[in-house]
Amino acid sequence: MALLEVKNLKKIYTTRFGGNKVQALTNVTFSVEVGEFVAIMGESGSGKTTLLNIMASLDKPTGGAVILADKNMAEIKQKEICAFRRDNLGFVFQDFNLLDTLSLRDNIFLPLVLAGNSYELMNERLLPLAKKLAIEDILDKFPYEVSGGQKQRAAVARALITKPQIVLADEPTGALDSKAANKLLNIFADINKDGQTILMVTHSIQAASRANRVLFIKDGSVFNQIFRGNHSNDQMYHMISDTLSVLQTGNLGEDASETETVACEMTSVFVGAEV
Amino acid sequence: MKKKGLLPRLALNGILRNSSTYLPYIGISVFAMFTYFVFDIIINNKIMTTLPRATYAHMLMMVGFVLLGIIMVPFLYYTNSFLIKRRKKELGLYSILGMEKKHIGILMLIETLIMYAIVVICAIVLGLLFSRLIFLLLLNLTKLPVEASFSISGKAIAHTILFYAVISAINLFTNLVQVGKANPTELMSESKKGEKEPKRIQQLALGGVLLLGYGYYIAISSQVDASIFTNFFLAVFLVVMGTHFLFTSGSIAFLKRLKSNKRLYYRSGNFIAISGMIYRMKKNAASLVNICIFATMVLITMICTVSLYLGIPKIQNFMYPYDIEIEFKENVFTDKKDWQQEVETLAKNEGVTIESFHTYEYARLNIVKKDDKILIKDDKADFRNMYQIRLIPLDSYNTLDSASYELEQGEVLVYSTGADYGMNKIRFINSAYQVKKEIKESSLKPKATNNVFSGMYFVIVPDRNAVEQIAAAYGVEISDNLKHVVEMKLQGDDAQKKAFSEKLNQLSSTQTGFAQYSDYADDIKDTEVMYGGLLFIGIFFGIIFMMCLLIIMYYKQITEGFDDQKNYEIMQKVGMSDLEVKRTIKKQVLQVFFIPLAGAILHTIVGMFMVINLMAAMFFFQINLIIACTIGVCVLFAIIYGISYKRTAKAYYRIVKQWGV
Repeated sequence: MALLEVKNLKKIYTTRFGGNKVQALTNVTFSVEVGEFVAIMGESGSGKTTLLNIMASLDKPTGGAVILADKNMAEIKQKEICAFRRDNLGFVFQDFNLLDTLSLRDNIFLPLVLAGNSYELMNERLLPLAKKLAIEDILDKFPYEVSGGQKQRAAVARALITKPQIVLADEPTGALDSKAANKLLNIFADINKDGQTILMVTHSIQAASRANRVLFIKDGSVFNQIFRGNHSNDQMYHMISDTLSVLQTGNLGEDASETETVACEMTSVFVGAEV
Repeated sequence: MKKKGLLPRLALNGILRNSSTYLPYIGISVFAMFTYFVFDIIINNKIMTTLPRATYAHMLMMVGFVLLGIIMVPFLYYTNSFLIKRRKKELGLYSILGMEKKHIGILMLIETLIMYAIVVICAIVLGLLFSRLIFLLLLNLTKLPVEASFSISGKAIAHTILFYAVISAINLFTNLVQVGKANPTELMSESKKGEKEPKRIQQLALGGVLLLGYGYYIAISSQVDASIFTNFFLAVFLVVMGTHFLFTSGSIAFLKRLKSNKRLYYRSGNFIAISGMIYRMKKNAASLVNICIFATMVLITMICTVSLYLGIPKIQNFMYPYDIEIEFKENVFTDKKDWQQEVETLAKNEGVTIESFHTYEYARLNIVKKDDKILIKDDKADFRNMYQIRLIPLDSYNTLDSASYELEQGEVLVYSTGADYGMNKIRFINSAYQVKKEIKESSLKPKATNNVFSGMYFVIVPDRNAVEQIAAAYGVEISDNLKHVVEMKLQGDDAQKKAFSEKLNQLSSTQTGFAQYSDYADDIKDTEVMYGGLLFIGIFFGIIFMMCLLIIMYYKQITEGFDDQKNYEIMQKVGMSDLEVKRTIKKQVLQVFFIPLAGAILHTIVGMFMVINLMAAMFFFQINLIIACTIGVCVLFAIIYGISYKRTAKAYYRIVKQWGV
C-alpha cells in the first residue's frame, strides 16, 4: 500500500497584478511506499520546492491531490492542518531552521510541546534518538554554539521525535561540508533501515545516490526515475549522473515552449510505464 | 542619465516601504514640533509681555518651552535608533550591490531631508491652524482677558525650522557614523547570540530592593521643609536605579524559575514566550524599566494636573478667604456702628453684595513654639516652629462664631489653622493656661491639618485683661496693638468690586483709628494666572509623556516582531497553528505591558506621599481630592494602556505573519 500518493499535481502561480501565469508544476504523479527512501532531483526552477511545499501542506495545489495515509490533504480543514502536519510529517531543512532562542534540547522538543505532550514522554523519546544521532553531549548548547553538522542532526532529531509517517527533507546537505554531509546521509540510511520513510529533495548526486529510488523532475513534471535494485552507492551515483546528463543535454538548442511539450510527452512515457 | 534620479527614488522608497516604523516617527516628530512651535508662538505674543498679570504665565511657558526642548532631543534620538536598526540590512545590501559609502551617505541625507520637510511643513501648518485655539485655552485657564490680540511671529517659525534641523542633523550624523563604521556583512547579519545572564543576580536584586526601599522611605517619610526638593530628586534617582536593578534581576530570576519548572515551561503557550524573553533578557528588562518610568511620569503629571484643575477654587479660598481686610485700632476706633452703616449704603450704591462680613478684635504675637511653651521669636529657630498667635477676648470670639463658650480664669480655647495644637496646656512666658477645648472649625480662617507653611494659632482668652497681660510679656503694648479687624467677601463683577473697594478705602482711611487696608483682588488674579499656567503645562506635558510612552512600547514590540519573524516562520513549519501563534504573542506582549504598569502604579502611589507635601507647599491641602484623582487617573490610564496593548499585539502579529508575502 502506498503511504504517500501524489496524483496529477498542478500548480500555477499568478503574478500579483494578474498578468503572467507561471506553471510551476504541470502534472506530477508518483507514490511512495512505507519504508522507502526516495530522492527527488532536478535543477533550480524545476518545481522541486513547490512540490515539497505542497506535500508539506504549506502550499495548496491548483489541481490534483496529495494523499497521505489515505487522507486527502486538500480535505483537511485549515484549523487542523497544523496539527496534521505536526503529527504526520517531519521536516529537515537546508538552513536547519532551528530557533536561536532555544537550546538544542528544546528545539527538538518543540513539536512535542506544540502537540501538548508531557515532559516525561519527551525525555523518554529524546534519549535514544540523541544517542543515535550522536548529539547527547550538546543538547544544552544553543544553535549558535555548535557546528552546521550538529545543527542539522539536531534538526533531524526534531523531525523524528514525533515519529512521523514520513520525513520530508529539503536539501538537507546543502549547507554542510562533505564530511558532515556524509555523516548525515549515513544517519538517513540508518533510520531508513529502521523503517522510517524518507522523501528528500536534493541537488546533490552524492545525497541522491543513497536513496532507494530517485525521481527526476524537469519543468514541472516527473521526467524519469531510477531504482537502486541491488546496485551499490557508487553504481547508483553513476546512474544518476548519466540520467542528469541526458536531462540536461537532451533539450539543448530548443526554445522554451517546445521544451514544455517535450517534457510532458516524456513524463507520460516514463511515468506511465513504471508507476 | 537615469542615475541622477536613482538615489532620491531609493530614498523615497525606503521611507514608504518601511512605513510601519517611519510613520510613527514622523507622527511623533510632527506632534513634538507642533507643540514646540505653538509654545514659541505664545511666548512671542505681545500680550504675554505687555499684560502685567501675564508675567507668571509667560515665565511658566518659558520653563515649559525649555523643558520641552530638553526632553525632545534625547527622545527623538532614541526613537531614531530603532529606525536605523531596521534599515541596516537594506543599506548593507546596497553596499554589497556596489553602492559606495558616499552614495549611501547621500541616500541617507536625502531621506533625512524628505522627512525633515514633511515634519516641519506639517508642524507649521498645524501650528498656524491651531495655535489660536490653544492660545485661547491658555487665556481661559489663566483667566486672562480673552479679547487679547493674537499674532503669529516669524521668529517662532524660524526657531522651529532651526530646532528640528539640529535634531535631524544629530540623528543623521549618528546614523552615518554607525553605517560608516560597519562593513556590509556586519550590516547584513544580526548577531544570533543570546544575551548572557548577568552575574550576581542575587546581589543585584538585593541592591535593587535596598535602593527602591530607601527611595520609597524618603518619599513616604518626607516632610515639607527646605530639603524637600533635594529629597524629591534623590528619591526619583533612587527609585529609577532601584527599578532598573530590580526589574533586571527580578525578571531574569523569575524567567529562570519558570524555565526550571518543566511542567510549566514545556507547554505550548509558555514555551516560546519564556524562551524568547530569556533570549533577550537584558534588552527586555531595559525596555520594561523605560516603560515603567515613563508611565510613572505620565501618571504623576496627570494626577497633579487633574487635582490642580479641580482644586483651584479651594486653594484660592484657603489663601484668600476674603476679598478685603481692614484693620483699626480697637481702642481709638469708636464709630463702628456708623461706619458699618456707611459701608452697607456704599455697597448698595455700587451694586455689590457683601457675602460675608466678619469682625473681631485681637492682639498679634510672633512666637516660637517648643512643645507647649510659647517663646519670643528669634531668627535661629526652625521655620516649622514659628507661629503667629492671635489673642482674642472670649466675647469677641463668641460674637464672631455665634458661639456661647464660657471660660474660667486660667482657661483658654485654641484654634489652629494648621495641624491640631493637641496639648492641654499652653505656657506663656509669664503665665500658663489650661486648654479647655480645641476648636476644629471656625470662620476665623480656614483650617488644613497639613498646612505647615503659614501656621497660626488663635488663642481665645477669658477677657481683655488676659490679652493685655499675656501680650505685655512679649513686648506688645495693648493700647496700640489691639486690633479691630473687618473681613469682607464680595459678590459682583470685577469693575463694580474695584469701584467699591476704592471708595471703601477712602471711607475707612478717614476714620479715626484706621490702621491698614488690604484688597486681595489682584493677588487672587495672580494665583489664577499661576495655577492656570501650571495646568496648561501639565496638560501638554501629560500628552507628550503619554505619546512618548506609547511610541516606546510600539517600537519595542515592532523591533521584536521583526526579530521574531523568522522564529514564527520556523514554528509554523514545524506545526504551530495560527491560533497558537496568536496566543503566544498575547502572552509575550502581556508581560511586557502589565509588569511596568503594576510597577508604575506602585511608584505613583508612593510618590503621592511626596506630591501631597509638595502640593501643600502650594497651599493645596485637599488630600481626599488627590486620592480620588489618583484612583481615577490610574484607572483611566490602565484602560488606555489596555487598548494600546491590544493594538500593539495586533501590529506584532501582522509583522510576524509577513514572511509568506
